[in-house]
Amino acid sequence: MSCSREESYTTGKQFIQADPCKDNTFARIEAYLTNFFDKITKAGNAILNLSNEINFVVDLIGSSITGFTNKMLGSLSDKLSEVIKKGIDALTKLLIASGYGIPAIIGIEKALIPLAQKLVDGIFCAATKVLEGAKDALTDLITGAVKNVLNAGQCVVEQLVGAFTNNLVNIVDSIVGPLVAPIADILNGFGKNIFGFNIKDFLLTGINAIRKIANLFECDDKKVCPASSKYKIDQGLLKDMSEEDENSAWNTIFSGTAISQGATNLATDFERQYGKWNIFGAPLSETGGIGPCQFGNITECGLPTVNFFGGNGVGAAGEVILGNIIDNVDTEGAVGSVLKVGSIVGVNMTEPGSGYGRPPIVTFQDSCNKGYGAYGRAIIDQNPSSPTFGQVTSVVITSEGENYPADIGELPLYISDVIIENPGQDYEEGDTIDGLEIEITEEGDTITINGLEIEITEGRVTNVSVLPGLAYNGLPDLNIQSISGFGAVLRPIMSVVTPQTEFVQVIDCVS
Amino acid sequence: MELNNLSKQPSNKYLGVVVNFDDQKEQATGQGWGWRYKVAIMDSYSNTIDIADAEIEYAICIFPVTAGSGGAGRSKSAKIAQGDVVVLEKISGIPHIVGLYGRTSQIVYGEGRFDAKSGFYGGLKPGNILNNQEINQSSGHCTPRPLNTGSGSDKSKERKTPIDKLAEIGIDAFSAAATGDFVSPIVSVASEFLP
Repeated sequence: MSCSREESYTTGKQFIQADPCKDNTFARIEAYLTNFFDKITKAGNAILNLSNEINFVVDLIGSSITGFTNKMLGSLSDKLSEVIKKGIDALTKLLIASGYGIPAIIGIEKALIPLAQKLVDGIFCAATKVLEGAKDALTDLITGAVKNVLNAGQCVVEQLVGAFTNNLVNIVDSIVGPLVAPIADILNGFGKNIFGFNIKDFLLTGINAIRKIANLFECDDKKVCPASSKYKIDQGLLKDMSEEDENSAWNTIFSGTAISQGATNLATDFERQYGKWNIFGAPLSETGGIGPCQFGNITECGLPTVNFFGGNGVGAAGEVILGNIIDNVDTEGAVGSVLKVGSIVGVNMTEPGSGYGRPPIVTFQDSCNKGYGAYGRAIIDQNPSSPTFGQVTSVVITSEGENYPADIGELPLYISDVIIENPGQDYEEGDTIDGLEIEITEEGDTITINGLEIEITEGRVTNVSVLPGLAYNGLPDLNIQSISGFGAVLRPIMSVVTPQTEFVQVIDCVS
Repeated sequence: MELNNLSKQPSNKYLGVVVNFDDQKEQATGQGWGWRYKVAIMDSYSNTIDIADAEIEYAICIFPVTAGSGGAGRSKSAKIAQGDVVVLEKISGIPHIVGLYGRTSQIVYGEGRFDAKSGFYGGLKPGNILNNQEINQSSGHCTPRPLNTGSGSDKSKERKTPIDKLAEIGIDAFSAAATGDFVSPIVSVASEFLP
């Protein structure tokens, strides 16, 4: 017997596991913020200790963002070394061409040495200041967001990290900028502009360079990449952000921050330090950085979706088939317009994908995290001589789950195929599948047949033929009636389309 | 052949209800000997309290052979609660508890001596998982399922800005975001400990 009560306060929490194959800093911060806002904004949270929660999430994000800060400032240091070296070379050529003697050139270059040393020290000082101030900055940002944000999504993370970056860029520019200026004065002081470098521009446009630089330090060894690094407690692995998704999110952050840097009418210390962002209460028309962001209550829950990942393949996609649809009675405190809920009884494959050497992981999700308990297993074609070799051919539903938003008209469901998961043993000819009898009319006579015909070979179930027309509203249990046999596990593949085999007129549907 | 006492007086089975632990506090709190419970035997006591619960004699628990007697450190404890309906046998006139009935989900609690009553007593408190379910039947307990409401990740439910909680830490939820809104306590070190 089960009851609708949460198993624990950790159910539904997300975690991003270590991934040797990609930088998942953004996904990690998103998971921290999602857990944080889920906890602090849920109704009836009398025992919430907000102070502790803010400190906790600040520590978590702080540890993730340290790496990001180091990468940025490390790449800035490298870039400055590179452009100064190029500048000195260019200046040397210019001075020689202008008739300066070697001692004079050496004298000019010597003057640059202490300035370059100061610059290196300045970058170190800026890094120290940013990292020391990171906790205070994150605390400001999280506290500011708590006043406005109810649901953390990707855009919330982009804005929050964007605001952090805005502050970082300002600090670095204020410390390093004045140290670069005298170097630029010397290099550009002989009639030709040979040194042009803008710290803010580099920090806000150089994300791809930063990520590439980070990759340079990695060995070219073969890594075992996990199918996914995203894990949800009591649900399992979920599809995580790809490297492209991460890069796209960071590009959004940097382009948003760049626009934020140009914002005017910065009225408060907060805005001057972090910029204007929607999640801190600035009107969208004044932010300009990152587009509209939905962080309030969600009023529209979409239908559940299916995801395929892992298995060394790509491209499999499908649509969820819902069954057991009932009225949504869980309406207390609801803001979403979910009128009906149901279970997941099948997947209609729209793209079989390719390259699957082993079954990919199948997950089901709805945008409101309302449904739970549905699990599926992908069936792939492992026959090298088959035209569908390496493709996902179907999905077996091992658990239907319930409570998934299902605001659609209920359609009759049909068994399109049956997967023999375990053939069992000791079955006999004449054994039938329980509860699938249908009455058909043939030449004026009404006879009863079974909707599924099973073939038994040496006591094992070797084939199941599906007769058309038997309609269901859920996932049927396929139990074989047998005196001697046991152990067979048959999984139906459901479809909303009647199987195209010999037509049988059905006058009594089992539902 | 001479019959022994047990044969002369074959044991009879009785049903009874374990009385309130308050009336057998000493034993229930582990200060008595053995595993004994005061049981109001239905054949022997009326529903009216002619004889107070505290005056009822103790019945001794009989354990299955798999429970162990304590010898060689092998033992399992009795798990009898107040209000349990137990089966007794009188051996030489002394009641022995030989079994008990599982409580069903249809149980109705009452005030009378033979009415069912909650088994929670003293340190026996409802747990976090099964709460106050007191049943033992084939359908099993109502076991919680992993819903998303625990962590608040069900986004179809209304969420609210924690205005009261912000106020508790000195932040006005309706004011604009400001630097230094969240105040951390300052570490105060006595001057003699400063470097």
